Amino acid sequence: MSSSPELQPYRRTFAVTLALLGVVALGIGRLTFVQLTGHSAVASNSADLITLPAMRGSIYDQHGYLLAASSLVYDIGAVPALVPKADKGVVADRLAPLLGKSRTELFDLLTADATFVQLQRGMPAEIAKQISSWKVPGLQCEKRSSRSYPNGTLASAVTGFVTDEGQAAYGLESYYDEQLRGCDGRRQAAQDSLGTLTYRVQAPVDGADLYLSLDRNLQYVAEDALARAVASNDAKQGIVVVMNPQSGAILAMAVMPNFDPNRRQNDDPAVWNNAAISEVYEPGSVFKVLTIAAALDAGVITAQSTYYDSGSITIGGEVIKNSDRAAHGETTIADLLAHSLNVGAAHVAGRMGAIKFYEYVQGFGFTRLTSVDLAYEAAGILRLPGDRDWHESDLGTNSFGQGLSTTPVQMLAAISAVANGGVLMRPYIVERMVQGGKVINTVPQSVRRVVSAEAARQTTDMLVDAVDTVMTAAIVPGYRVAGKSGTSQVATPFGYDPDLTIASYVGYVPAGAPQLAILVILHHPVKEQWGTTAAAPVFREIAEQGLTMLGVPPDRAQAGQTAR
Amino acid sequence: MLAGRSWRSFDWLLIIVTVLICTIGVISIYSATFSVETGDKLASRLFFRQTTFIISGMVLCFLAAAVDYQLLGEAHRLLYALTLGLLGFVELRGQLGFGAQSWLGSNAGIQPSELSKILLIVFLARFMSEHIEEETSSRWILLSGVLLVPPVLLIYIQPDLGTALVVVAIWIGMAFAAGIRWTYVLALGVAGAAAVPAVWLSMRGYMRDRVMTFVNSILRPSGPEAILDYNTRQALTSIGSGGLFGKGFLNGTQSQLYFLRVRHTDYVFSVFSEEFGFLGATVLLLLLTVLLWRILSVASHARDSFGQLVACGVATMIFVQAFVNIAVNLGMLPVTGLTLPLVSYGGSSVWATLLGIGLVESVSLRHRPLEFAD
Repeated sequence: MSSSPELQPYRRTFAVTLALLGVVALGIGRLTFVQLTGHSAVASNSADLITLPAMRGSIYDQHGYLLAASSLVYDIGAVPALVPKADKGVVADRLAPLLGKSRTELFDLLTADATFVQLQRGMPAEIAKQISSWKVPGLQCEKRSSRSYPNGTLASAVTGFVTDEGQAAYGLESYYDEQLRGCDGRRQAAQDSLGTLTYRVQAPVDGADLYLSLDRNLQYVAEDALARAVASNDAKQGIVVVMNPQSGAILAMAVMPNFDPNRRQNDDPAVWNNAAISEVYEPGSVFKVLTIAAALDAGVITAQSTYYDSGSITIGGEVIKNSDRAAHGETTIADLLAHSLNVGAAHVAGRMGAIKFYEYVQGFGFTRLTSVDLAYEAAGILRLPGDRDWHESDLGTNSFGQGLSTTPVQMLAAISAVANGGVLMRPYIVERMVQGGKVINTVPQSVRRVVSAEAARQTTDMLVDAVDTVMTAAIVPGYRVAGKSGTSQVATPFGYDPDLTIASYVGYVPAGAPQLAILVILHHPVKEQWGTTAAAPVFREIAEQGLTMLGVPPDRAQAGQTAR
Repeated sequence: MLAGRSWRSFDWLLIIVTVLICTIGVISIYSATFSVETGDKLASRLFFRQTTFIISGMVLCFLAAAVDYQLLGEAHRLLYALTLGLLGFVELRGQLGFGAQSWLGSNAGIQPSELSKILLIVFLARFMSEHIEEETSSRWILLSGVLLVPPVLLIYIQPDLGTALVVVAIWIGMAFAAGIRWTYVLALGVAGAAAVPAVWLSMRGYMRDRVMTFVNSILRPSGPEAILDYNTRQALTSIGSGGLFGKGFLNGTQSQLYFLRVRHTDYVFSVFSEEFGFLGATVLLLLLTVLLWRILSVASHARDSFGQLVACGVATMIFVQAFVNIAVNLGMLPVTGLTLPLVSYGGSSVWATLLGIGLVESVSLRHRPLEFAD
C-alpha cells in the first residue's frame, strides 16, 4: 500500500533493523567458522606445531669407520615475557653453571625486551632434561640434530660440513643433502571446540647412511704423505686423488691445506673448496700419455715408430721446444714419454691432425663433468677447432698438456682409462646408500671405450719402461709401475709466470692389472719444482703403502731391480 | 533544565549496554598491554587512561542528554563551519600520529575527525529534516551530500580514508532514513561505481597494497601463509585459537607474546576473542546489537524527524565502524585502521561515541508522546 510520506522513514528504520540483524548473523557465522570448526589453516598456531627432526644419515668409509655422524643436541632458549619476573634471578643462577655462561649475561637475556632469546646452543640431552624438569614457564629446550666428524680434518674435502643451522655445504654433505637429510616429521596439535586435544603425527624419516669407497687408512696415508711434501717443498697447495682404475671408485682424496669440519670459525672459506674436483689447472706433460695412447689407437704411430727430434717443431706458426732445450735426434715413442719431449708429442699430434686429436681428447672426458658424486665439480676449459679462439698452434701445445685446463679428478679418470685397457670409468665415491633396510649399491659405470686395449697396453708398457729407466723416484719394489710426471707453468692473465710451477705425477700399479691409480699435484712448490722430484716420491709412498694395505701381490721378481 | 519526571524517559538499557561494552574494552586493553607495561606507573598505563576517558565521556554523555537537541539544531550552520575550521586547522598544523595528520594538541591531543563525525551528524540531521516534508526533499538530501564533500576531502587528505568512508556511510544511512527516493539511490550507486577509478588513483600506496592483499586472499585462497598480510594472519590465529571458551584472561599467547600488533586499538577484538573465545565474542556482538537496537528504537519514537535522523546518524556511525573493524579482524575486509567503538583504546573515539549516545538520549528524553498518554 502506498504509505504516507510521514510513515516512510519509520518503515525504513525497520528495514535497517533487519539488515543489521543480517550483518550480526554474518559476523557470528564467521566467528563460528574461525573459532569452532577448527579450520586448520586458521586455528593452527606455531606453538601447536612441533617438528620432529629426522636424524641425518651417517657417512662411513668402506670398512665401516665413521666419518660423519649426527647426534641430538638441544638449543636452550627463553621467551622473556613468559618467565615469571620474580624467578628470573634464580633461573639465571641455576642456568649459569649448566650453560657455561655468566649469571649476569643470562639474567640480561632473560630480562631482554625481545620475543625470544637464545641462551645456549648445542647442549646435551641430560642438561636439557634437567632444565625441563624445573618446569619454568618460558624456558624452552629445542631439539635439533648436530653434525660431528670424529676424524677431525681427515677427508674434510670429501665430507664437506653441515652448519649449526643445518645447512649442508660442500662435498658429500652438499651433494647427498637430500638423501642424508631425510624428512622431518611433525606433530600438529588440534583442539576442537570442547577443548579436546588431538594430535596428528607424521613420523620423521631418518636420512640414508652413506658407505664410501674411500678407505680411511689409505686416506690417512695419502694426507700424511701429501702434508709432508707440501711442507718440505713449501708448496701453496697439494692434491692427491687415488682411484681404482678398473671401477672408478675413489679410494682417497686429499687436499692440503685442509680444515676441521667440526670447527670452522676461523677458516678462510677457500679451504672448504675441494680443489680435486672444483679447481682447474694445466696438466702439463702427464697429458702426453693420452696423446700417445690416442695416436697408437688411431694407427698414426706404432710402438716401434720413431721420429726425428730436431729440438724444435713449428705448428700453426708457433715454435715448440723441448723443456731441456736439446735436440734428441732419431727417437722412439718410449723415449719420447720417458724424457717427456714436447717436440715429439707435438709431432705425433701433428700427424694425427686436429680433428682426430680433439676427438680423442673429448673421448677421454675433457670439457665434460665426470659426474663424480661430490658437490661443485668443474668441467675444465679446452678450445676446439671451430671455436672462435682456437688456433692451429693449440694442437701443438695441447699435445703436451698446455693451453687447456682440467680438474685433477678429470685428469686421473682419463689416465685410468689407459690403465683400464682403454675404457673410461665414471669416478664415484659412494659405494652404497642404506636407508632403513633398503640398500642401494653403486654399480661401476663405464662411460666409453676411448682407445683399444692394445693401444692402452702398449702405452702402459712404455710408461713402465719410463719409470724403470728415467723416473726411478716412482719405483715401487716388486711391482710394475706405469707413471708419468708433469711440470706445468702457472697461467696468469699476463702469460705464464716464470717462477711458479705445478708439479704433478700420475701413475698406476700394478701395471698389468692396476688396483691403484694415483695423481699427485703440488701447486707452486719452492724447493723442488719438478714433477719427478717433488711429486713422484709422494706417489711412490702412497702406492707402496696402498698396495700393502690392499694386499696386492707383487707382479715382478724383486731381484734384479736397480736399487733406488 | 529538565524536570525530574522527564528522566524516566531516559533509556537506561542503552547506558547499561554502553558501560558493559566499555568494560570489555578496558579488560581487553589491560590484557593487550599487560606484558609491556607491568612496571609503568598506573597513570600512564593505557587501561587506566581509557577508564578516565570513559568516565569523562560519560559526563559528556549526560550533559549532552540534558541539553535539548533542538538547541543544537538551531546552531547547525555554526556546527558545520566549526567542523570545517577544525579540520582545516589540522591540515595547517597537525602533528604526525601514525602517519596521519589527524591529531590536535601537543601531547596525546584530540582527533578533530572523531568530533567532526558527531558535528556533521547534527548538521546533516537538521539540514535534511528542514526539507523532509517538501515534495523536493530528495534534491535537498543530495545537496546535503554536496555540502559534505569539503569535510570528507579534508579528512581523506589527512590521510584517514577509514573515517572519510565512515562519514560518507553516515550520510548514506541518514539519507536513506530521510526517505531519499530509490531512483536517487540507484543514481548514487552508479555515480559511486564511476568514482572508483578516481578514488583508486588518489589512494596512497599503502592503501592500495592493503586492498590488493585482500583481493589476492580472495582470489587465491590456497594457503594462509602467502596471501594474507601479517596482521590479518595473526588476528585470525588469535581468534581461531580461542575456541569455544577462550584461553582465559591474560593467557592469550598471541597477544601476550606480541604476535598480534596494534592490539589495544585495531585488533582489540582479536585480543578479546582469543582470551574469551567464541562465547565472549558472541556476547560482545550481541551487546553491540542491543546498543544499535536501542538507538534505532529511540529513532522510531523520536518527536520529530530531526531527532530521528540524529539517532539514525549515530547508529550508522557505530554500526559501520564496528562492522568494518570486526570484519577486518575476521579477515573479511581489507585492513582500514578503523577502531571498534567504545572498545578500542582512544580518548577522542570514546568521547565522540559517548557524545553521540548522549545526543540519542537527549532525543529519547524528548520523545513523541505515546498515543494512549494523556
